[in-house]
Amino acid sequence: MSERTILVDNTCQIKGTKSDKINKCARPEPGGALGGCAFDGAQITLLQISDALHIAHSPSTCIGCSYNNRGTRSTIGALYRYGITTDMNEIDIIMGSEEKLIKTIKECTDIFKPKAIFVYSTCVADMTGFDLIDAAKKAQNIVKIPVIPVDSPGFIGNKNYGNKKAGEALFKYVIGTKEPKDTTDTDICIIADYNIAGELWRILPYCEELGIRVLSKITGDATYEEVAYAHRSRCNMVVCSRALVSLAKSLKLKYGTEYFEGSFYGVKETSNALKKIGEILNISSLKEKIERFVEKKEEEVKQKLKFFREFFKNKRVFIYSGGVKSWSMVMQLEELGFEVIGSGIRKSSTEDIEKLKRHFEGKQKILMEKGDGQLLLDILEKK
Amino acid sequence: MKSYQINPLKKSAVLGATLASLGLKNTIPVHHGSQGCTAFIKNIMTQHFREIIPMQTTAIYNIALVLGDYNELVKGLSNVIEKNRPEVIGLITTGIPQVRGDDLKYMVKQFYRKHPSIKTEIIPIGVSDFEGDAETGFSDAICAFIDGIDFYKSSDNKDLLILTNFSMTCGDIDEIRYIVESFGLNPIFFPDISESLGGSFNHYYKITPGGFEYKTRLKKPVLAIGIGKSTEKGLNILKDKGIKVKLFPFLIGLKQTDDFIDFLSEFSNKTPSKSIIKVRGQLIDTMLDSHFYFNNKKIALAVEPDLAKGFYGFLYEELGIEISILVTTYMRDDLKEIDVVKYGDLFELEQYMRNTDLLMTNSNGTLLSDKYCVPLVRTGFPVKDEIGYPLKVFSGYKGSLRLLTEIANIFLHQEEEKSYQYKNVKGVKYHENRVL
Ligand code: SF4
Repeated sequence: MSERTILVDNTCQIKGTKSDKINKCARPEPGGALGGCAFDGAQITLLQISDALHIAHSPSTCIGCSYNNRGTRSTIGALYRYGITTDMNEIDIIMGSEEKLIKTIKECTDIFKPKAIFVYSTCVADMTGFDLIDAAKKAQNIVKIPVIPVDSPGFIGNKNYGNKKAGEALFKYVIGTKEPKDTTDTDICIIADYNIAGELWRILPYCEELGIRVLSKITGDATYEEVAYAHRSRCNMVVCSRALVSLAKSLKLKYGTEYFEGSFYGVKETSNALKKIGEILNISSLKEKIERFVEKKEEEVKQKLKFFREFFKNKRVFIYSGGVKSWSMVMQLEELGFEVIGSGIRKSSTEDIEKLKRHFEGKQKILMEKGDGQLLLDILEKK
Repeated sequence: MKSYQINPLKKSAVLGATLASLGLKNTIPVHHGSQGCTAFIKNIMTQHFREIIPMQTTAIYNIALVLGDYNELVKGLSNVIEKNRPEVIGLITTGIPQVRGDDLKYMVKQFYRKHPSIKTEIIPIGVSDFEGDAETGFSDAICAFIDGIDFYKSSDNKDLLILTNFSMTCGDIDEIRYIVESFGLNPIFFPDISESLGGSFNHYYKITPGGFEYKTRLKKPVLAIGIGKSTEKGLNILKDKGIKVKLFPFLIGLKQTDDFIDFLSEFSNKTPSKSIIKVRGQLIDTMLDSHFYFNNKKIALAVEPDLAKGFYGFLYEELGIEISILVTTYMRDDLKEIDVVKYGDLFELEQYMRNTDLLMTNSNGTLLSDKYCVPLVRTGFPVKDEIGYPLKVFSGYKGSLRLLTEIANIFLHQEEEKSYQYKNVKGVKYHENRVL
């Protein structure tokens, strides 16, 4: 156990640039930290695959009140709202818990008939020296559907690190295990959009209209199968820039799929993303089509926003999203006519922070590393 | 019985102990464990109460975990104290230190030795992640706190110490406060979440702005009352400290409230106030008005034992509504006598949904109410999809009356709809899953 956890840290340090390292492997500050653990992060990334079951090998703390708590939406089924835990107790810790996990997997498979099962290790399970990979293998032989181990005990890192571990699990055990019925020249994969509040459903119609086929989504509103054949995509778009870039990089290395980081927040960003997809797919007729489409849509939206822009003029906004999307929101709000006076940069990637700095250069703007209610109230009072 | 849980009802003892700690004034609970547990609990409590929830963690991280050193605890505590200046800290264990076998008491002693200038009271609360549930965690935390209190004699004999349980809302506490005060007594709730999580603050705070004022030396109360059987352990400690104690069940329904009022009346030598007697009359009147609609109705319940006992006493024994199933989070002796009680999860409930007209459980009940088109009365924890739940009253005549009307109206409308359904005169198509 000790070997693994320390090893993970090293790889992280070797791969990342110096600033990356600080950002991504930041050690939580005792008494000053608040944020989800790796298990939380892993679930955030995978839960949306909702024809699969998600079982936490954990005591009740990890699942007891945190299930049915994601804003994601799915057309596939409701399993993503379910919380299943092996409910480890003292006896499991002393006597070992492999049997219990396998029994849970077996019985839940009978009840729900899922396409696959993701099992997550948590702090307590991991501390008992439990071999998750081995147990998953054994269970898979019994239930005859893929059982994917997700190495995500909370103590190995923060939520973002958990996203990465989930990406690792997908890369290692899922992607590339199936083939799509057919492929087209315009197959793309959208990575790290989780269809929160159904946001993906706003974008898919565009792709449809443009003749771009979204082969796979990782993992908003996704089936297990489409994730399994995501390697056939010709262009990967990484939406939430910090979380799964590592997965896109690995996919490029192994399958040669080009990727880019983009976002659908705001008019310009959406246009840019669509254009970038055209560029990577590199089909001239499609590129032209996208140009025309983007021009038309931008004009349409501009007309619709006219009234609001007038209304929002001179209204000043400070953004503290607590999420990774600060940069995108700055741009989006400016498009709406607001004056953005500053932004929080907690959880933002180094690239995003650089972008913000350049964008704000020469103006008196606030970049807030770590805020709390008091600091935000202070800003409100000062302005 | 299955050994795992699908859609658990049970919350961990850690969560319960945290809520209990939050009922103290000028405090911030600190979890000794990895940061994730704290984030989950803070998240869900923020959704439930819609208030600022002070909370921190020692954030055990992998190297520290392997080496098992105490640095993260020492550092975590001094950071929390320096930044937030709390008067008291409930230091709560989570999974990792339990498996590791950390000796919390010893560690706290070491901490004081290293930081002699620190005046903050640090109370170690050694709840288990693997045993009990939020309700036992809540009462265990109460025990840990009162263990350390020294009660001194005082001539003032109006103070009434009231131990609360996990499922009581801020509204419940306020209602009981009102009742007790009407007898000329001075109720002190321990813990008192109505003062810390009940809203009404217009400023930002890093530690709880109100609640029970914890001191190691306190005036001896004239009597200690426990609401809910889970407070029994706490009462026993108080008894050992020479305080008179009295246990009541969750005060839902006529009989359970009557007993409480009678007792207070006798104890204070005062007759109940006019307004209390009036509400009692209204409750009885509404019970009469509504009883037609309870015919043949079945309710499925899934709540913690204290609340379960309270609901059962009112809904089944007094209103005569059938309980199709009562799922709870641990099998307490007094619940074993009731035949519909089962230990389990929300999946257990699912087997009974076709035979149920109303579901009463926390917000996760929507998983079932959506699927089977059965109305859901939200109760317990967490209730994250309803505004104002923490202020809702279940206790006393007033709370019972409120609950009664809520349920009765659902049944009334159900009957009404059913009458239209023959030949569908309303022109509405009903969902095929609909249980009528
Ligand atoms: S930190 Fe560990 S014990 Fe806590 S929720 Fe995360 S995985 Fe579970």
